Amino acid sequence: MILSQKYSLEDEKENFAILRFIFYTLLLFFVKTQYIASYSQLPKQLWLPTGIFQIFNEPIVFNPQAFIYIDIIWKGLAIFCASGWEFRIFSKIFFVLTFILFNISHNYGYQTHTNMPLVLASFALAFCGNHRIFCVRALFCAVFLSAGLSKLRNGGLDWITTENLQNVLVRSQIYYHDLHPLAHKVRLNIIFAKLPLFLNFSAAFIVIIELISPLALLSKRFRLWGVLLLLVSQIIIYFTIYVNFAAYLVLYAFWIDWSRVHKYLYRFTIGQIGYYD
Amino acid sequence: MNYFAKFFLIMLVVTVVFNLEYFPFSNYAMYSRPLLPGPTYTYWKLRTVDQNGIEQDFKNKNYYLFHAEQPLIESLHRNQFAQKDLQVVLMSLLKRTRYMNANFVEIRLYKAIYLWPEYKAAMLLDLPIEVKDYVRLELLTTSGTIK
Repeated sequence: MILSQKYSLEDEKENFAILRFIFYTLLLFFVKTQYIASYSQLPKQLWLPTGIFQIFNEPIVFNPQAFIYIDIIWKGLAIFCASGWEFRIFSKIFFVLTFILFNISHNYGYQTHTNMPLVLASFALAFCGNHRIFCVRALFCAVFLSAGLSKLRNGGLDWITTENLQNVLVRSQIYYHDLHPLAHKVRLNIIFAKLPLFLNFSAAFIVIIELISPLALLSKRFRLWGVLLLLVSQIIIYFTIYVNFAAYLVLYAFWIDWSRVHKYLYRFTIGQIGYYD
Repeated sequence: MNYFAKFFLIMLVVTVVFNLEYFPFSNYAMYSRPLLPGPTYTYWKLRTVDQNGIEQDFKNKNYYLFHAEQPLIESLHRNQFAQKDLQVVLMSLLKRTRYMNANFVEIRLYKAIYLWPEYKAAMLLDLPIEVKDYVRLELLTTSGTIK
């Protein structure tokens, strides 16, 4: 596979160890478990189980006291996984608990489309063996490909050629009026909203880059600028549409060869000291 | 490649190809339908009759699947709307319409705002916007209109 052609076994192990640390540590920072738990406080009659949760007739309810302990367990497991201690066991338990926690909101109607890739990535890390990094990269590409396809399915060319994006930018000012004060300070959406032709081209560009994102799995050249462009586009989305994709940084980390980064840093820090000695 | 990895990759392909909502990535209809004025964007009210959220009457019969954003609910709460009533209404609507092959995912409380010409003009002129001036929320419950 792609990874085994490029890395030695040692490099691959080192790369995964660093990635593992980054992934689980960032999850601790980005995932707000209280937000997830708040759904279990909704009225019982709103419980509409989906998927495997249909086996539960009664809603899964966390009372605030119990959730404190569940939260501690979840965070503890994340720390164990980040450290690599008994990773094979704890990563699987972590996935199961994460899957349950994140799906609570699904059963009340909300769908955590920004968090679900992280849940699935934790599955890949726990279960997919030597191909886990490839699987997370494939997941990353699937996220963007599905976004591009969805725009074509639901909007077609209207998504690109009309004043759609202009409306989205204007709406965001209200829709997320009380979120992300930094983005509101910049007011990039207002600047862009005055440039309809630019927005039409931007919309086309976004759809194209999303549709060809799977090329990153095949082409090293595309991987370099394609993934970077997706990152830049999500940063711009934060400042224009006020949607925060910071959690996706966890997935972007899987495109970096951390063993090489480590070697590079070693060479220019400790390695340099050794040279002068 | 182990069986889990194969399962995972097949699941990804199936999810993308068939646009499965059980594993939502970024493929929300909400974000992918063009946001344009038209017959499906005419202003309408939400009605409900009880706390179980059983009965609703849409002015516009084009059912919308909507998306109850927690930040939105919180912001409404801070604007002193009746949060609990609102949650019941929103979630029950969602419960009823989620898998009806609805054509749009949106909460309509704000829907009219960005289509009002004066609002849009104000935004484009970079004028300060006071949200409350532009929110016309007509949400009816047993206890009356929340405004």
